[in-house]
Amino acid sequence: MKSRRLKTAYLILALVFVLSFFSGCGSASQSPTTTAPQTIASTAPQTTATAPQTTAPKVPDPLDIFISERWAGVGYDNMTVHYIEEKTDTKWNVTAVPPEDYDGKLDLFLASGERPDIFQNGEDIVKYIDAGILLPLNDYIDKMPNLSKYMADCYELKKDSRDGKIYSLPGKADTVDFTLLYRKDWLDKLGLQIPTTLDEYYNVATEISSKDPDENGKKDTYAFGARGFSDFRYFEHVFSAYGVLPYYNMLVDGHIVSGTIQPGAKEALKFLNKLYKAGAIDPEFVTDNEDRTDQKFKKGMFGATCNYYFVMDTANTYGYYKAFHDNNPNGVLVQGPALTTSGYTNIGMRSNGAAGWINHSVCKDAKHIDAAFRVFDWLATDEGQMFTWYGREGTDYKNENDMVVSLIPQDEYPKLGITQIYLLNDNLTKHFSKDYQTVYTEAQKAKTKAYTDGITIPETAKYQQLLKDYTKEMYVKMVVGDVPVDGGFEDFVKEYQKRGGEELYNAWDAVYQKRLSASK
Amino acid sequence: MDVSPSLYKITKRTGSMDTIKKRGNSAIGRLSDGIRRDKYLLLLLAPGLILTIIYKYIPMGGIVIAFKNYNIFKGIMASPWVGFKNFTDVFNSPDFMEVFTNTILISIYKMAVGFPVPIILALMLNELRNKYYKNTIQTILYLPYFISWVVVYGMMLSLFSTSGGMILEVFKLFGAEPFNILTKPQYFRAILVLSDVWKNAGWGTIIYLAALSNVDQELYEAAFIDGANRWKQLWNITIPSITSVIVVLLILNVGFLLDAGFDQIIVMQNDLVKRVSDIFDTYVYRTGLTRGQYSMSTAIGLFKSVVALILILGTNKIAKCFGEEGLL
Repeated sequence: MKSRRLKTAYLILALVFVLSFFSGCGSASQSPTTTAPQTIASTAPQTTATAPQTTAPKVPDPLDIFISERWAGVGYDNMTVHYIEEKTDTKWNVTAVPPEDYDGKLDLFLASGERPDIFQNGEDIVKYIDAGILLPLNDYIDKMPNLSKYMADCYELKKDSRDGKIYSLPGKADTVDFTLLYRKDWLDKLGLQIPTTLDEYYNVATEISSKDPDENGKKDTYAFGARGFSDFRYFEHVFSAYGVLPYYNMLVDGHIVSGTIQPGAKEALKFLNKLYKAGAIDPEFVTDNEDRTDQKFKKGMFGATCNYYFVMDTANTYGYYKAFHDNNPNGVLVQGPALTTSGYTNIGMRSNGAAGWINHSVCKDAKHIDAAFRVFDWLATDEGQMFTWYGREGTDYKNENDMVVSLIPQDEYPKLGITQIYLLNDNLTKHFSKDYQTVYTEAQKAKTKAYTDGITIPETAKYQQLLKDYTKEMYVKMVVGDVPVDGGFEDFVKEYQKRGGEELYNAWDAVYQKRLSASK
Repeated sequence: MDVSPSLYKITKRTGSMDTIKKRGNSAIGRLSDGIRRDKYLLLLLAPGLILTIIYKYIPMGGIVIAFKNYNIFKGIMASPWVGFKNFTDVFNSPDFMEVFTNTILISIYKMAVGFPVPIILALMLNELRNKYYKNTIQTILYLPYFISWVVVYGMMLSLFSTSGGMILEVFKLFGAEPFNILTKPQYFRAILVLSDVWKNAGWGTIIYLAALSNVDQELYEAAFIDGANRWKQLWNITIPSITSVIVVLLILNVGFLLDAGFDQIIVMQNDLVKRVSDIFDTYVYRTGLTRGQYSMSTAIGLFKSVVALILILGTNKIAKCFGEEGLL
């Protein structure tokens, strides 16, 4: 009957709906876990009745690793990971999370009871120390010679101020990332010299932005742009001239204070405001993000800007050099000296600090601690570092004239996993071209001292992000002119202290003084 | 009480009690009769019901962390009880008044502009004779609903860019000096409201058009014979027919008063306009969730839900006083 068939049809439809809701179930999305490496499968024992059994294949130790993604969407099932697995007799189970979601996802992961063998963390490590889930690493480091050597220059720095235990291993980068660059071709065209003082810089900046040096009839050339103030480094050539750096712990009269609220910062903001009013700063710096500023730099819109030193590397590290020169075949970039202004001493550019720009810890209750340390120890060797940075000698790179030359194009790196592993990371510069080595060394000369390198205190978790957000907001307003610097800066300082600045810096100073007297 | 024809159609039963054998007059008996009559409808409803229970009702137990100082490593039960401290901390924080004002104002602006627009559009579309023209316009209108805010903001950045965006032509037209509109606090709320209307109005018109299509054509013919022109027909037939739908949607919208559009604002916010556009959800996201302060976030969420409940019940009561069916 028609109605009976209709009823069955409805029933099936309802069933389909119910079952379709379960299709969403399954394991949480993770990067594909690594498949068993080929080398292990070949050791299957012979099975005949009389022939003696060969020893059962040694199963490699599994290793649970929780880190943030190096490249979006690129998994960890590749040549690099398999090679390390072979060398350390481990099998990796990597969970990789996009960096912007990392903190939230890590908290949820740990809260659900998971205890990875290795996991990445940053300034919020205090939270995990206090929760008691981290393994103290002092003894392990002392027992392993390669790891000891790696930790030699930061062993003391990494000790927690409260109990002297080391809770994480750093990716080291005691280096400066940014340097001041100029478009030499534009300067020549406009008849200008490379500036050495702030006043000269002002002149150069305004000329570049008003005289259309790329001669395309559009007002699209600026001294520099930025990503709001989420990255202070784009403004640091001005701040450093006044002897301060924002969001930086500096030493004044023997005490740790915040660079953000020093009187020098007020003068710097006044100067930046002047530059902005004159049209030398790209007005879109308020809304731009990382992608957009990178695009603009590669397009050739900025003429007197700070940027990563490796944009000058002819070996095209990270892809800036080629992109810039494709768009600007006549473009010439040169480094500029630190700017000076009367009454102040230039403090230099921000350095990352030897205590690590990225940290990895081991959970106390993790199941494969020995395996984790096998990996760390191998990565701490020269062989380990060369491999994670450059790949296989002969296949992926070769040594030529005391320099590492890559034999494969940079876009092949993600597929092979080269430069993907940061579990331990020393700053190798062997791949820099010769004349660019000089750029690098020049940039390092301007390094500031990281006074609170490695200090971990609970106040950081409470106040640091809030203060940074507040600073970002007020600095933007003062540069753009929505808030006048005179008077506005003083109000900002008062509010900053009230919102936790005073408490935070008193805590930092206390630990610093303790360290100072302990080392005497 | 006059039941409008459109509402009658919506609530008409699909099966009659006469097709099943009744089980009796007790409450259980009548319940089982109802289930047997509507069993396929209930089966269709089952997945959605199960989903709602699992994901909306059972997690309500977690509300308790608003009254605790939740530490994810200790778990819910072992975290210390703090009573109303989370709430007083939030209410006393210097940003609360600003966030509260922003949320209310932005919601009210969006409702004042965004609520009438779909109605007017639907009424206008309803008057069109050519079916293909009407459908094309309708499709064009509701397409922006499907574009995510991230993409829309990217489009806006390019459009409003002072170095090459189309907005430069508009400035030239007025002979004014170009500036970046997206960073001006005095214009930002207007931009939020207008872009929100652009994106969502088309979607709302679909609902009203559906209600309008249910109106009995004979009423129009009768009115025409009586000598009513288009305007009088609109006022006396069309609008009263959709009044119930308008009231229902109004009650629902009032419940969303404290939401104000997180997806849109978190994407479009920048440092210069934060003071005029920070709403509860963006504040909670920034200071609560990203810093692992789950208790504070839950406290604000609970506050929002309680207020929304009061508003919905209140608006529903008022609607009933005016003679409408209401939602509850």
